[in-house]
Amino acid sequence: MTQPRRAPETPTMDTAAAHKDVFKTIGYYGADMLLNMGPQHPSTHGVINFIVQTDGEVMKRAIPEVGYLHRSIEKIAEKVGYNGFMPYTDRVDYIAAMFANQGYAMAVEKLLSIEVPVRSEYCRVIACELNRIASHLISAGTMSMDVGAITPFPYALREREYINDLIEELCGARLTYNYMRIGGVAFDLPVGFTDKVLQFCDHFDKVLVEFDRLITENEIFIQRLGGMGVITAEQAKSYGLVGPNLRGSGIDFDVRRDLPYSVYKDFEYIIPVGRGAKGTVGDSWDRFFVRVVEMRESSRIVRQAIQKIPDGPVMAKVPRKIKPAAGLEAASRIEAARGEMLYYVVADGTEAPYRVKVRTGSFTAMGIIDDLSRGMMIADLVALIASLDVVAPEIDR
Amino acid sequence: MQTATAHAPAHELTAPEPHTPQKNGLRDYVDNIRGTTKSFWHGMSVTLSYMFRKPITAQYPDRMPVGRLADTLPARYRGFLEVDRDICTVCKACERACPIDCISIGEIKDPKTRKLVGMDRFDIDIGKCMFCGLCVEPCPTGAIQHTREFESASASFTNLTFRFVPEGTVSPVYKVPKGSTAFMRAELGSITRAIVKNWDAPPPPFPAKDTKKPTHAATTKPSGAAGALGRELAVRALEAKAKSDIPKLQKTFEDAMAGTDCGDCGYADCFGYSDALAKGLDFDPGKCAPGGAESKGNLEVMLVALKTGKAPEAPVEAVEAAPTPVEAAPTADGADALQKELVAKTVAAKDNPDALKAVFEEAMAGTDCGDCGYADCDGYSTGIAKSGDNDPSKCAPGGSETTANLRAMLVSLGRKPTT
Amino acid sequence: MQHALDTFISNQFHVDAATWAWTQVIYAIAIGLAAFALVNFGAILAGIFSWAERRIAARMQSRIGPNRVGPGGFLQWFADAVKLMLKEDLIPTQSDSILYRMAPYFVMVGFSCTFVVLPFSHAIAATTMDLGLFYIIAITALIVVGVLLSGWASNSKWSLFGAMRAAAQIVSYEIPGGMALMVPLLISGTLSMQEMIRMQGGIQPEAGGNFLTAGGWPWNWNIFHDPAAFVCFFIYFTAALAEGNRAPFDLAEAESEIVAGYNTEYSGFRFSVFFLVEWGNVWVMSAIACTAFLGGWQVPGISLAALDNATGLSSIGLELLSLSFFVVKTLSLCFVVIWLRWTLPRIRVDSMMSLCWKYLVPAAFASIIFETVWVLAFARSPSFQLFFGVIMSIAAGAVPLWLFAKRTFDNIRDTGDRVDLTNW
Repeated sequence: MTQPRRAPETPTMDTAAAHKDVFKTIGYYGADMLLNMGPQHPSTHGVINFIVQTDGEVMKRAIPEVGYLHRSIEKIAEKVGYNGFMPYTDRVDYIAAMFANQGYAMAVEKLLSIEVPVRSEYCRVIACELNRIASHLISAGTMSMDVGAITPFPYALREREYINDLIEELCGARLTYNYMRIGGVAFDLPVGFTDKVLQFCDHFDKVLVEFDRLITENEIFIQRLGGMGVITAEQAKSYGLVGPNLRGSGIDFDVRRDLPYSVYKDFEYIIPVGRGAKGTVGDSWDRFFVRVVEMRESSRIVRQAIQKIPDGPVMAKVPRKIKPAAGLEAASRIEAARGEMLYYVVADGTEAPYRVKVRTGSFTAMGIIDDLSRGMMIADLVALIASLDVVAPEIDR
Repeated sequence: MQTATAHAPAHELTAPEPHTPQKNGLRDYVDNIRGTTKSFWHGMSVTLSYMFRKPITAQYPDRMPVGRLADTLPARYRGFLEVDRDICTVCKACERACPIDCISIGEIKDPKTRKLVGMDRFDIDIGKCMFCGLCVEPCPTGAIQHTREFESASASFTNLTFRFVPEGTVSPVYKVPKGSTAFMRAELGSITRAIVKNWDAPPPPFPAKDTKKPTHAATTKPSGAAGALGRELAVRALEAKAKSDIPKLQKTFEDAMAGTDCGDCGYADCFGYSDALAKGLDFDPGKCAPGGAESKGNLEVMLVALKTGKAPEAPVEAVEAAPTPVEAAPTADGADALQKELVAKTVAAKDNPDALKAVFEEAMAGTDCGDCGYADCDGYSTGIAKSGDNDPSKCAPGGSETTANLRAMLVSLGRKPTT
Repeated sequence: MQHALDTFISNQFHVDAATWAWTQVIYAIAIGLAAFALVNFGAILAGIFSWAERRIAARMQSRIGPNRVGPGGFLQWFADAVKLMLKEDLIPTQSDSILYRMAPYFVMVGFSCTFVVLPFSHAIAATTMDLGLFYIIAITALIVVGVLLSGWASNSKWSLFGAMRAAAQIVSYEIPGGMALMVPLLISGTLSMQEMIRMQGGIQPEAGGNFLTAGGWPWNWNIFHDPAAFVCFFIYFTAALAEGNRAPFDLAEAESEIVAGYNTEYSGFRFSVFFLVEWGNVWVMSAIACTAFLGGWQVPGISLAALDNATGLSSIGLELLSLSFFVVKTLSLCFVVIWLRWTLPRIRVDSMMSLCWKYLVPAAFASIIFETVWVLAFARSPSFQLFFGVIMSIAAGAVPLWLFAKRTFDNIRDTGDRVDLTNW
């Protein structure tokens, strides 16, 4: 080797200068190690960066840095028009795209005062609840993988593939569904679809028991998550947490039941709430378990929906060109897989909305990480992020 | 309206159960050991049981238990888009529906009647397409459809633009037979498969580095129409021939070539090719690939000059390359003439609703796209002529021109257009 | 081995080995050959393990695993080894490059030196060192030096985390691991690996035993000797997992937390050394557990005298038999190690420490005391020991295994699946 290993002109990195702004932000005073966890870290669930201020294993602080996946989806809505924005909502949360579809469709329907056919509402519920199972499977699988158990992840993904097959048959896509339309859904249920869904539900209920035995009740798993990352009910409210994160903290609130939309009042189901079974109320295990129970309940809702689905059209009469009058505005709240999702649409009389605002659960969940991470271990930070079930595109949009 | 700040009713925000302290002491100790043993027992029996089950992995693409994977996908699968131009009405509803503008349609209108006569281009950029399916829904005939083809790995970037109307050809407008609801379509997927099959052909050669950039005009010039360079070279070649100076002649020929020594001509380098030309061993001027049409033209002029013994006298007038455009720019006069004619017809048919409807339909694009909100052009023209629809702006394929015509016609009838 | 060489010299060269001038040269050549064979054995074994682990893990996860290179994907490890060796050997600019280069050697030396005393069969072992067990516990400590060096020298925060975790973990778990090995030591009364196996031969025919009492029957194994030994087997196994950085104790290279731990910055051949050692260690720890607790190379029904006195073809046959028993037992333990890795979540640093100091160390202490009493009470009665061994091996061995197998096949039935061994 003739070339010297160390190039003489290599600039020595002035770490302090490079991170000056960061230091200023976090009140860094020089004694600790500063660690950039991400954006290419294996378990940050997408491109998120955490600036970890640590002294060994125990962290002083972890500051989430968001925005790496910002694609200005809300701004795009102002260009592409009411119908054209529907495929973009898939990209708001690509793990649970049905909910984003539904939220947007409901907001515009409210804007236009469209009555949606009942059958299409049932189609939406079936699609959404299947999607909720798929999304929670990803969450549970990646969470167990983040605490080191790799095998539950392929099992979860295998079940998700079955759901993907079903949804692919329903709407033709496996990830970015674009199934719903303003005024209904794009397609009716295909022939034989209900039988396949019921078959899947039977299979899934059995597999979920096995999944529980493999990981949910695992002692090491409980040791890792029980009593870790506790979010009290007060904290959860003040940080604006939604969905399973909120319910994990013991607050019994679910948009499906408490602010009923679509046809959710026709079904019987349980809203699971964290009870601190393996530690404290609001710990990571509670959030995990809330999701596991929600999967079971979603499977129940799907069965009931298939039993009750009426005949009829799946699309309301909607003008080809959607042009709501100027000044109209509407908002819709739905219970998405990652908690309450809000769509707020303002019309200005043209073919494109004046403003679309999406309020997602992951973004608010990022805020609490800084607070919770103080005094936590690095290994726990990974599990905490996983337990909040944040998805990078939903954070940044 | 609801707002994001609306709080849930108070009863929903119930307080959590009191915090249960962690167990401690010997009992906790024993519980931990028991829990660990139990979770090992259950967990390990689950993982072991999978050793005896069938793995679900599908070994795509070469060890699939089924035939072509694309054929096993559900019918609604949203793969590549496909256009059957035989039943395309050129209404451009798909182009308008596409949120990312990956569809591009080149329509051709009759210069006189301003009617759609065809399209010379229907491109879909599959590299940009997000397979949302919004273009399929408004299509009145089902000409544009998603296929179940999805394997889009390609060696060349340009392959990803699907050209459903071959370049240089014009596809006529499909006239929808009155009252028909079903349309004969080519087998779904056959057109896309034919396009994808062509991907296997080698991509176009990468342009050589030293190529004198052939201008657009040069490539469209018919060979033999040499510019000033060709004449000059021919004169030099004749001089060299007169002196029997083969090396100079060879040099002159080489000057006409691209000079990249690429070897595409079949000779080792430019010297080989030009030497053969100079010595009369080769009479083909078209072998210089990097030089393109320009060098071919120059070489041809030189060879002709050597054969006939006289230099090209006058500069050869470059033939106008661009073919006469089918769609001439709409002149104000032409548009006015059409409008005047339509207005005249309208006034003439004023008392006969059926005739009036026919005149209105004539003014429309005639693609039956349904974008106006009516089922087809028949419906819209009936709506204007008989039902008192005063909105002239609904014909999307016709664009502003049709809107202006319809407005003028409505005004001539004494009605007030809404837009 | 020295004896065999002396015999070889006197037979071939017709000289007295003790006085012949070239004896030392012959010794050196023999040692070189043996070392070469053992290091290659370790390397190839680690390679094959890397393939086996991926295949087993894949099956456990309902996947197939590498199956393209060679029959059943068997040559995948070879392809990977070639790829790793051809990769660029990157050394970070700001690393401590001398220490950075040295670290893999420490790890490699610590690993391959264990083969000096590891037995394979009745006669196949590099040495019969009297302090075998002690030597192994001592020499494997070199690995932690290498790991610590690699983490420090990489000048990467993730590497340093991994190295510090590894150091804390390995040093802590030396204690319960070493103490758990005291119990078979108390039972057999020797530190020599070969002797320890010989002591698990049960009641020999000379002492009035028969086919069912002599040789490597489960009731003669140390693990079923008494409850303390049974507990100590699991303590040792847990400690060995932690020392080998295997899941659920893979904190040092926890990829979901600290990227890849101490070997984050390594590439190419140096990286492959770390990997080789990780998988080679699985064999080493399994072989030690097999030696100390599972009767080593003892063949059921074959007495030690039969093995010692066999000559010619029957000697080779018995050797191969005892070798295969040892290898099968060790590979089964290796399978368990792999199986654990793909089942359990990773333990956290503080839980790992509390497991070590609150559970394993007290349990190991208690076991030693219990064992001492047990040996004092029952050592003079081999027939009682035999009786107890049979009860233990049924109650703690056969019955749980049968229940476990039942549970496993119930799992398949419960999810509506069926046994299907196709689609490899």
